[in-house]
Amino acid sequence: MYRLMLKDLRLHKRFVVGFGIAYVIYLAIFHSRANNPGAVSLFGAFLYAIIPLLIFTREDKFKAAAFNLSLPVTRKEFLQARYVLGWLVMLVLYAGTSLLTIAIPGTKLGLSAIFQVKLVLLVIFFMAVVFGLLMPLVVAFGFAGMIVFLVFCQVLGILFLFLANLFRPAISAAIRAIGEFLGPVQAGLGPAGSAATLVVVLLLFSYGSYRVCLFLFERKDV
Amino acid sequence: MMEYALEIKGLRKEYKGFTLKDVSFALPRGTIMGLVGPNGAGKTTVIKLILNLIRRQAGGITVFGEDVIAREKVIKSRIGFVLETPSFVEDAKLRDIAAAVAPLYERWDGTLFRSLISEFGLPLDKKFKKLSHGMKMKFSLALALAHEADLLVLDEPTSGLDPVFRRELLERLSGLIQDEGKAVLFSTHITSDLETTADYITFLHAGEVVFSLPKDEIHETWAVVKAGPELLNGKLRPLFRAIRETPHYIEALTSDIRTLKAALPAGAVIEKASIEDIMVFMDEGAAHV
Amino acid sequence: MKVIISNSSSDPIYKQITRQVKAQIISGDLAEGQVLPSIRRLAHDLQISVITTKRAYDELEKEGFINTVGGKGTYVAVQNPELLREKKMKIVEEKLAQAVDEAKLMGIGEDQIIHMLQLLFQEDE
Repeated sequence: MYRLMLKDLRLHKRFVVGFGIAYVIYLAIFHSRANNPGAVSLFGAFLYAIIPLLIFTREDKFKAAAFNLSLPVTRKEFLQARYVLGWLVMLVLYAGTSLLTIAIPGTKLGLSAIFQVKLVLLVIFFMAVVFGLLMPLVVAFGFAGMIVFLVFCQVLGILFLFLANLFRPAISAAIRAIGEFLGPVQAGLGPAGSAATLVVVLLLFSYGSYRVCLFLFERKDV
Repeated sequence: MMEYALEIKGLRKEYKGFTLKDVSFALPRGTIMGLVGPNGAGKTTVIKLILNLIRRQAGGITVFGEDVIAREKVIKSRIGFVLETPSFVEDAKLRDIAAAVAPLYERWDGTLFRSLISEFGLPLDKKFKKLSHGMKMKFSLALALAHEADLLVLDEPTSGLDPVFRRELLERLSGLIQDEGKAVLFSTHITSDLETTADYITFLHAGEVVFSLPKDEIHETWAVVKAGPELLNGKLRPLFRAIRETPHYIEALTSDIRTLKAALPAGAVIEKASIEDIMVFMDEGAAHV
Repeated sequence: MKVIISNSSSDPIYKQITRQVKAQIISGDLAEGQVLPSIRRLAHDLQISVITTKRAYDELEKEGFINTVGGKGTYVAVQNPELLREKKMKIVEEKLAQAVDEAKLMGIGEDQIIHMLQLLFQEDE
């Protein structure tokens, strides 16, 4: 497992370090100027999740998949290493960016703003969702798949915005209804309970994504 | 000790425009087998199936007696491979690629690797994409040889290489099987590679095995017969695998010259069929028969 | 042991090997008990298939020219001096038979052949 992760890190050394550092600095500066820690953090979460995927799809570009899978590894081990590595990269990026954001002079976000438990959980949850959704797409369709999905999301987003404008009252009502439903549920669970539920959902979702990926990956012709 | 390094039985793989049908052959330990055939014959497909990179529709493959799917990891740790277009993460340095791959092999021999690198003249600090095709191939070979593999599976290892290196490579392969436990399978469409060191030759054509024989036996049973138009008469024609017409005579390929000899018309010329002859005949001549 | 093979010769390679080895054993260039390269070593040195060298050695062994001691190696067999003489005679006989065939084809008579032989023997003295 470690050896597989190390392999990916060694092979993509330049990309990970170069791109990663630039990324972190850019995001930290961006964060430090933001007024709303929530939105900015979620945006960051999305970006953290993309980086490992970019690393994995680099392989696509070089057609190195055949080489990788001819090494003495099973496809399962290969995929597991990718999930673990992906998470490590995301968490390191998140931690790095957060710390740098606090350290930048003139930052609007302090320690307490960045490390609110709720925010942290939300960021992690969001990373899990993006990573978990995109991994099977990447496994099945490679880099192209990821791009297509992201474009699709953009289109969906625009569509949503458009529809939201048209059906504002109905949507507001819907959102209120969901809020009214979730509110008591959340209150009932209490802060610890909500956090725990979130973590459980996150884990289930990630596991589900892994199983889908494994199914696709083991059947893929390389 | 398992007699065969590699055994393939009834292998079948379907693609949209091409099917590999009922491919069977065996590679005994201590020997070199050339897998030969024109481009598109299915050589790379067979190799990909051995390495479990693609899924088969039917058939079985065992390496040293163990199934390549069930015991994938164990088997692959004993296989040294070179794929058709060596591809790695292009902007990684050779040194990094080697460091990335080495820990995955139990029997990786760093000293051996370094000596191969220096022998092949490879600059470890250069990025992979900066190498010439020949150097890329040599690097792939160095990786394949450095972990004391028992079975080498090489897909077109000599394509794009100069004759000097080709000769050196073949000599190295023949040196490798001085150890009777090892074996080599390499695919090529350059038939002259095989005329020296190969022990067995498996000829693939349009997804099927035409023959899988000891090289000497091929020279003794396959032949090209040249004669006048009598060669095309009813009784003789079906005995030939392929026929070609030239302005001066008819050429025909047979896979059993020993029995055919007696039935040939007077004045017929019999010549040894080289692998290249067979390949060329089967490719175009098949249509005529 | 010196073996030179020709790819363009019409003789199969294994035959070229057996012929040359036999000649060297008979002439004494290869001494009794002398060790020969293994079939793999020979195949590698000559850059030919190990199946070919095996075939050559098998034939040589069958005809009593060499012995393979499992695990130890291949040696020139102890030649029974009478058998050896017989083999030598056989080779010369084959050559003479060729000459006789040619002579008959060209219409050269028996007496002329015998005369030729005497001249040839005298040349060396």
